[in-house]
Amino acid sequence: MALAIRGNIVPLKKSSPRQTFKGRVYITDDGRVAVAKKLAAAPPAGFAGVAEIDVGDNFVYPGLIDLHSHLGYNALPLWTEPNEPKPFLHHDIWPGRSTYKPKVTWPAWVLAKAAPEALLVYVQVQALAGGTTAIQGWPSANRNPANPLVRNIDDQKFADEHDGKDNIRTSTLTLGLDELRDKADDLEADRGFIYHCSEGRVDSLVVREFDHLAAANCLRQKLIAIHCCAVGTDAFERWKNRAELMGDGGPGSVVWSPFSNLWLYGQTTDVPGARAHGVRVCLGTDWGPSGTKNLLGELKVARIWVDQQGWDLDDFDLVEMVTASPGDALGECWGKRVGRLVAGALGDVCVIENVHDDPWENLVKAREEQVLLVLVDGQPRYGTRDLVTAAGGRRTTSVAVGRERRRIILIDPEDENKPIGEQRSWTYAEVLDRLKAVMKDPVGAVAAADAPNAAAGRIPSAMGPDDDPLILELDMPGGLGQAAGPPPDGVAVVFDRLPSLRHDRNWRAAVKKGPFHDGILDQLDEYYQ
Amino acid sequence: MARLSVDERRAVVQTFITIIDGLYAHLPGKRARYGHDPVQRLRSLQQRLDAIDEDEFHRSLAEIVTDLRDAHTRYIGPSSLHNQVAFLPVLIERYTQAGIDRYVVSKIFTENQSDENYFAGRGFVKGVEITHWNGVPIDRAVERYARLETGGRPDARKARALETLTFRPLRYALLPDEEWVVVSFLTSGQSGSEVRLNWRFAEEDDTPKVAVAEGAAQLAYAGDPLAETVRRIKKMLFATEKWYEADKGELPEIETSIAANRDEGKWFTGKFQDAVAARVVAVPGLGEFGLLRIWSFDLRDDDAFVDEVIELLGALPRTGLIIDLRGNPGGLIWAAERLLQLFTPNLVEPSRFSMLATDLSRSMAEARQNRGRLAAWRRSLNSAVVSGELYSRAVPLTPPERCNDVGQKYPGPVVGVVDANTYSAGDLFAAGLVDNRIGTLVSVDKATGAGGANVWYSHNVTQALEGTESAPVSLPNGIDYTIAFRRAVRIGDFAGAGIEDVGIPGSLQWPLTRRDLIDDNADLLTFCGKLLATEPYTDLVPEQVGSTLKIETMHLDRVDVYVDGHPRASLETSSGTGKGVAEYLFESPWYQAEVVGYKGDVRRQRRLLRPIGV
Repeated sequence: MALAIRGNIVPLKKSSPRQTFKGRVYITDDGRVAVAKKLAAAPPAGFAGVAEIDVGDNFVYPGLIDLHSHLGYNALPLWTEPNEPKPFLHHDIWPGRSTYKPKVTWPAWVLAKAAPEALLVYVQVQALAGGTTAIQGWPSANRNPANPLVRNIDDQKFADEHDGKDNIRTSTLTLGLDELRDKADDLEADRGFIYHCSEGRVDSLVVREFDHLAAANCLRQKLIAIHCCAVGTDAFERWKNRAELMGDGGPGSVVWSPFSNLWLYGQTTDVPGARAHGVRVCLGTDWGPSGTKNLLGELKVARIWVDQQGWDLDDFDLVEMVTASPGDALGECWGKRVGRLVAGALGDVCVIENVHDDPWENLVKAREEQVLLVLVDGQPRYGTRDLVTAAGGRRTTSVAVGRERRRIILIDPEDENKPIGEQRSWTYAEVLDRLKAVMKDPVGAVAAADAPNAAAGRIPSAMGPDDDPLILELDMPGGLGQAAGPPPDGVAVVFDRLPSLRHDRNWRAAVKKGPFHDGILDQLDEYYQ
Repeated sequence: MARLSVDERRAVVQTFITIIDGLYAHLPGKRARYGHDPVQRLRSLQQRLDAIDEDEFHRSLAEIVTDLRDAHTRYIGPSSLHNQVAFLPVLIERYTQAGIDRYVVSKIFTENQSDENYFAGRGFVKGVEITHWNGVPIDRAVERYARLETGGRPDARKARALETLTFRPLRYALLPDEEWVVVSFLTSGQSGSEVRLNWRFAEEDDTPKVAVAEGAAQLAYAGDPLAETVRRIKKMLFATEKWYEADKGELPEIETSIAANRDEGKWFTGKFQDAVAARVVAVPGLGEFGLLRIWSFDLRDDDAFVDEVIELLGALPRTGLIIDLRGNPGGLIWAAERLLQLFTPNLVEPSRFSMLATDLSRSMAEARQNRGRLAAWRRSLNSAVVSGELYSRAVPLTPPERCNDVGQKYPGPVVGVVDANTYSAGDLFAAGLVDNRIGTLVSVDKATGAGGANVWYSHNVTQALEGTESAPVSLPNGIDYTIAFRRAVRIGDFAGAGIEDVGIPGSLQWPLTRRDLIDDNADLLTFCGKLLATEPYTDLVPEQVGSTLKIETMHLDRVDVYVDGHPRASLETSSGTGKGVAEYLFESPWYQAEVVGYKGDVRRQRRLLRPIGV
């Protein structure tokens, strides 16, 4: 339905990005921003009398965009390898450590196998709790989940663009030159390419991954390179020069995940070096085992690191990294406006409580409890009961966020293919119960997950795609063929407690035990006092 | 020359059936790609030999072989015209403007004053743009002629057609149907004009011989003999002075050539003037780069060739190198693959070659005379009987040790430039450059010419089949052939991929501009210079002073020293200004030292050293 959101609008308009005003954002019934106007201005044509959601003095931001995650792993707690004496050199090292599989890939595989729908609900709600409306890093799947709450950057199609096809390629795996050449063709054809690249300590061996991008001619404007923490400013200059040589408007984007980098490597991306050469910098959370839970956490880590390094970046710059910058990077590929509340943009919005008058400081310092409403395509996906209801949300279920309650809308996966009126709701409590049951009896849960197919004497792919049980394949860093596999027969996977949705006391206590960040991340406590 | 009897023709066809069915390395691929079966077509020809005359016989046989689209595999007709090359006195080149191919006269050959007067009187000068060929729009004429050419891709056929449109070595190509050609063109004033060009003839003996290497090298050949002949004829007509220098063996010493030409940006050469030349290229705003022009790998002595290239590299700027392989028709595989090591700190892996697994190839491998040279393929050919593999295992033709016996000599980044006439050993060099991650490949057309095989001449086949049940009969009237005998497959990231018909695409493409054709590749070289300028540069210069090894570095953090294969030292080099130094003291006599330079953990430079005087 068409609606107007009234509040302190933070539109991040390209021509005047720091300008905010009291006003309304008008969203069409097909989920696009019609316009953002000041309070005194008359509504645009067709919006007289539409539902108004008044959020008072609270801030209305574009929905936050997380350009780097691995959702399948986001129900796991932080991971450290005991007795690891030094920061890891690069991404090929830690997957070989002794506790990595028992603590990371086996539990992730069990959850994905035995409770895929519940897992995807949980990790999406974790993202929504941080105001996220679009996220990258979905596990490969045989079909869409029953409850798509957050925009799937890896598989986003628009009926009116690119013949309805996904226009962004992604790879977590390190690719050889032959595959990179295919991606270079995609980039030449104006498609985007999101690629994990040169993740490790500065000047470590994975610098070669950046060399290979250059050799394959992938250093283009629509390359979105995740990490690039092993390379220096000269690499970003190379990217700029190569993109110019190819006639691009400029170099592409790098996704900065400071928490994960500091957690694993004790170092992170040369953000000033990237910016100095016109490389757009975006923020990404990475994943549960070495990342923050959502972008609100990552913003704080970025702030801490920027201050620690004395970099010339203010809160506005950081807010851009989770809104307009990733939005521009995606928008170039999708042919859509994203990450700004401007005419024609996707109607992805988050409302954050006004605690600090400065809207940039307010977002950087925001906690999960201050996220009041999240809309994707103009549809309410998460928020307080009042706001979700005002935005048209019905049959909601309650989510505990600390002492606060939020509402989301879920359908029972069993009813996914039924007509909308006949679908039963799914409660978030059922989601959590499902995950906890799997964690309590992983062997039994996996066996039960296989049982329906075995009983039917068929394999999932033999069934119609809509009837298939959801099958997720988890990604892993490394070369082709890497995927999180099942635990060996007879090995019982031991789960920790299901983490909360917030950067809570338990999580921060675990952060303090991280061996490689020299206590820098301990400062996160200051944001949560 | 006596006419062939029907029985003789039948024997000729039977020979082609035998070798194509039993040895032709690309037979499965060609059947799949082009949807016809050359062996069946040969059998069909054999059935109607009584009904056709000899001219039709030769044309039919030539057509069947040409339809393989493989310049390695040629039917060579009766020998009466073998030494003749028919040519038109112009060099026509193609550039692309707004996606449309345009054709420019880049060189004109005049034999006498009468020629000059005729051409000048009609405004037919270098740079005029051709519009029609015998009344047919030129692009259409080239495309039409391309249907008769070899080449796996349309652009490759077109590139070859543009060459044989004006140059026809009659050993490999048919005599032109027309006696003259009417060429319509736009003068510099953009008015239309026409010239009539008569086909002329040159004796192939007038050109330096195609170097058919001897001994083991004879079996490591990968080239297009037709293209090599055309290249030499072109050189004779349009670079006559250079041709005579090479023909008479009056080449200047390389040091003299460097001293006379280097600083003026002119070409300098050594005794392999016919195969390789170098010059300094200045790119405004970016500085100077090296240009290594490898015209051909058609040579006998790969050791001397590699040595000469090292000398040429030593006179070039170290900050970046363009290796131009356009039009290189191939030649000695060893020469191409051994050059690769000069440009990389890593060990080079050569491409691999496999044989078609058939009864004939098995009996060839079992023949006593081949037990040495085909030993590496023999076992897998035999096991293919039960495994069902179409091919033997793939084995390098250039021993890996020889691909790494000299080591890196050039420190800077490298860009290779290729076109659809970069063929065979030229393809292999381009593949090696990409697959060993040595440099960036820029293609003028969609890819290289896609000749992925080791070529054998008929006498190689005959010799190798001697004593077997399938020993071929000798062919009458000088009829001959060449055949793609071993199929090349790539290594590294592209391991197992073939080269035939697909070639090696550049990771960047640069369609030639008009300025490239009339102003010495100005735009192409500027593009390559800009590309090189984006690449990181490091350097390492070791020098022996008595027992001390003094090492100067640029943008390196560390050097490791290995002596006779063992690690001896890992030395930090100061890097504040980018320049660094380190020293190592040899404590005892040594045979070979290896100095490896690192930026961070990544190997960027490597030098192999022998003690001075050894």
